[in-house]
Amino acid sequence: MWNGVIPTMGLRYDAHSLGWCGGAAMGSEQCRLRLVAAQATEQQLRELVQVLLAQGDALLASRSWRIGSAVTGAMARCARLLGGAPPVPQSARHWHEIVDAHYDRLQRQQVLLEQLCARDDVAENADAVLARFWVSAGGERVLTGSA
Amino acid sequence: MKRARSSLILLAWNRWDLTRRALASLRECELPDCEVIVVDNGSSDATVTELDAHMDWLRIVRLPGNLGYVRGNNAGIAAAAAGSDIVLLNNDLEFVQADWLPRLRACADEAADIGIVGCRLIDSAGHLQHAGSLVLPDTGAGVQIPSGRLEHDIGQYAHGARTVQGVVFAAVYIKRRVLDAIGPLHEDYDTYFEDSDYCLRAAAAGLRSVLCGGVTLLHAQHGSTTTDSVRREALYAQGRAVFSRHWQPTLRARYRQRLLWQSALEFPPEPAAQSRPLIRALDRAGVDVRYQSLYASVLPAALAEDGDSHDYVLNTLRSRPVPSRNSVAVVCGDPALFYRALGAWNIGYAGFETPPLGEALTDWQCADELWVPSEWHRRALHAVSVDRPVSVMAQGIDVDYFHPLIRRVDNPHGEFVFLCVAAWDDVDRPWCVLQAFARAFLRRDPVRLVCWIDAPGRDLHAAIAALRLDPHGGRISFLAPRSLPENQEGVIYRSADALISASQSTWRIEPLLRALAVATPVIAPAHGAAGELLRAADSCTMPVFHNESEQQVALIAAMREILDARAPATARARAASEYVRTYRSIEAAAARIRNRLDALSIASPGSRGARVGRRSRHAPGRVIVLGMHRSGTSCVAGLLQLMGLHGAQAGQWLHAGADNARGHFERADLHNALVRSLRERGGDWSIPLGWDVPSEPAARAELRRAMGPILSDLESQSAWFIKEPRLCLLLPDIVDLIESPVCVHVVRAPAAVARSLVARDGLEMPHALALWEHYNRMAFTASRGLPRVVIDYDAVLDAPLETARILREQLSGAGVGGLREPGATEIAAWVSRELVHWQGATAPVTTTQSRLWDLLRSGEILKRADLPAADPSGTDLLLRLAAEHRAALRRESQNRGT
Repeated sequence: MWNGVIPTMGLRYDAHSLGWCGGAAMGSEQCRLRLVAAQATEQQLRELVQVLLAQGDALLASRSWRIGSAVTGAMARCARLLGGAPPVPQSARHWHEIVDAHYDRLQRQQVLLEQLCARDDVAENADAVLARFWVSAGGERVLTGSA
Repeated sequence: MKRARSSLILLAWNRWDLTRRALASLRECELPDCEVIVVDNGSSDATVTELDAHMDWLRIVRLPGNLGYVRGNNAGIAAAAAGSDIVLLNNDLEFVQADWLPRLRACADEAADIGIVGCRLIDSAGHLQHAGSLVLPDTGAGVQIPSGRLEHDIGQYAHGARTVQGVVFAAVYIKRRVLDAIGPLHEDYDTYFEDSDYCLRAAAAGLRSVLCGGVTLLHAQHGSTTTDSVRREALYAQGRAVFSRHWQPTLRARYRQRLLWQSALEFPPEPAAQSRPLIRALDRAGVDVRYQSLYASVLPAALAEDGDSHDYVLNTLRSRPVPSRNSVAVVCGDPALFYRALGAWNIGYAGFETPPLGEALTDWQCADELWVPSEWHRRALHAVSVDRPVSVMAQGIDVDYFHPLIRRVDNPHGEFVFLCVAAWDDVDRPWCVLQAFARAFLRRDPVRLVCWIDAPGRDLHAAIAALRLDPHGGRISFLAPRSLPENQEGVIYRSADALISASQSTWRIEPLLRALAVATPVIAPAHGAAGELLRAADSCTMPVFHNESEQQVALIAAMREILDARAPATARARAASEYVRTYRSIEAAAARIRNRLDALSIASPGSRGARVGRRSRHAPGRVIVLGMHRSGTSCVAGLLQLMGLHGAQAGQWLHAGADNARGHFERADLHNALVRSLRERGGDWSIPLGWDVPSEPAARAELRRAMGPILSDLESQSAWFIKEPRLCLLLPDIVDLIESPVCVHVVRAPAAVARSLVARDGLEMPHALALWEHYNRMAFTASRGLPRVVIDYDAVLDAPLETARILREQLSGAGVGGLREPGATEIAAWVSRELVHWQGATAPVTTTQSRLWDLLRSGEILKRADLPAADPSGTDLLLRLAAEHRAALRRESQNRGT
């Protein structure tokens, strides 16, 4: 006697598997819902990160931090003269670069999702498609000189 | 005075605004050794007076009235300098390319047998209007670009000169030799078809027509007739009739061979992408191609080709009748369908990733002859002892749409652009490229990876998020999956600086061919057909590593190498483009096929070798789909059809209603027999209990009798399925009539089913839930002792590819032989989430029903010797409804009697 089961749970969406990334192509409604959810999450994230960055900027610009930086900078220069390799002091720019990189990744994912939601629209004109594409690529912060 | 080498004849009839524009732009052009003649075809507007102001640089021939296009031009030709070549021009042209005349002249001088030279024409909206005209004998109607479609101009057909059937005479260079041989335009025509007629007459005199891709002029088409569509249509019809009378036999006679092509032209897209350009090229090569969809028998009607390929040539060819069984047939596509070949000599044409063994090998042996895309494939078939003749028919590329002059849309940010074109699957594994790129480069590096990825049936967004690529790594962007028509795709390849691939496919080389043809450097593993192509084109190669980490290391090295040596890579790509466009063009591929057909026609049928009797492909297989109404049984039945199981002929299906627009997959005869049998017992689909016991034996006997012809019809097919939800109730009455059946139970959450029934049929919720429970209990009771599979509809929706694969494996394991493996695009197109309703719905499910659902979805139900006790409230409800139903039937019967 042979019996076979196609299990339910074993086939559930497995986003962490590279060989098979699971999940049906999204329906348009599902895609739209995910887009809205992603936009909302991103907005919340940006607000939180903005608060943290502002606090970090304030700390890094504070008098005590600047005095500390000056002292540790002088010590680092001495250490380097003696052949040491002191760690690079943190700066506001460093943190902004990290945040920008993550924002850009979010942005790319968002653009992809928007394209997937709209993929039933076949464009007639490759020039226009690529022109739009380069505009979205140009929206990344690295191109505006922050890095 | 120096004798004019060329006489430019511009014909004008009113519309001075157009003539003025044409002359103004013409005067700005290089016009060496020529005279310009304007023929005023009896204008009555400002043309009459305004032309005089141009007499310093042109001659005017005034005609007393409008003699029509042909006679007007002939008047100009008669007035031209003796011995000069003739250039006919419309007054609605704008000469946007200053060197157009020297280029046309150079093109005409390229060979002694070139008689007529035309050029590309575009309109002001950027559409390509003309790139060589074509008239097929079937229709007698002509098109000005082979596809017959309005294509956005990307530089298609702009590479060099190519021989064409005809060119339009809106702008044409005619060598004096042609006039000497055949005289002026044929005056049987007034305005349309005179140009095609002239080109064919020149060809008959040994002088061919070419389209000079290096010249493009702007054409406001129908400048003189644009406001009078009725007149235009009348002129067109008249010209078409005359042309057909003159040329139809000649056009028919150009076909040397006839071929039945069984494949796809629209769906599935993979064989369609291969067949479309090849069939067009075969027609140009003089092969009378007839077409039949290879996939019609396995595609559900909702996915079937609709007969419109959006292409003039393809639509014309597919309207030709399929020849009787005396021709050569090429089956291009899934080898599992080779057995459906209809020719007297059948050729299977496909590739494979791993050499076929077992059942797959038998599929290949169904053909009389095999064509494969590379030497690697030919050797692999010989290694597994295929005893059919095997020829290598390498894939070709349509160089009219993929060449180095295709428009490039530069990245305005100045980054070096790597392009990855792939399917998101284990063969192409584009994630290797993404990961390698993110590792190889930093975010600040001026490079970008553009991914153009197809992911049918997969959640690409989630899959890419799951890669967790380093945000500080190289920049990666995603282009919408295949959102462009085929005639525009060249721009994407041309706009990249290099194509990169991690594919370990032995024969998916379309992206490589396209990139090489447009002279974009390629980085790809050299394996199978790709290896042969890359080595022959002297392109960069990279070993294929099955280990993804090793492949990534190789990719990183190759990307850095190409960035460090851009100039040599570009030079190498140009040389590779030359090779590909010469030896791997679609014309070359068609010529190889035509030569093979020639060889076959020389060999008499008897000498083609001993024919092995064509066998029926499938081992016997009988599948019964069981499931409650609204449980997704139609969706699963569609998957079974995609796997090659037979359900019914087209006219035998139950008509699909609005509640299941893509088809019920229920045979009408089976459905009617089951409905009748339930009625005879005093029940129906919603009254599955409490039937009239005395009437059951007769109803059972009648059902068994009705099953006779149904099963007889199905048994004429070697593997089949039946699906009807009422089988859950009545299978025990007929199951012994079916030899070795396999049951596929489709289950779905009770709340979703019940909500759907409430909405569709207006049932009360407890009734709907009781039905769900009863149907499933009856189905699993009926299938006890038989091989069976349980499939959860939600799993199908969430993971269609994986679920279909497991279903196929499990059916094969249960002894259903010869199942084909549907492609990802087929499954993804069929399992549409748009049709999903009530997923995640809630309903007042009883504890017993909830427990049953747990057993169903986990598959535990198959391990139990017996089912758990039924929910008594549900059973009571069904019995009570049955009693009411029977009472209603009695009343109805009595009323009818009185």
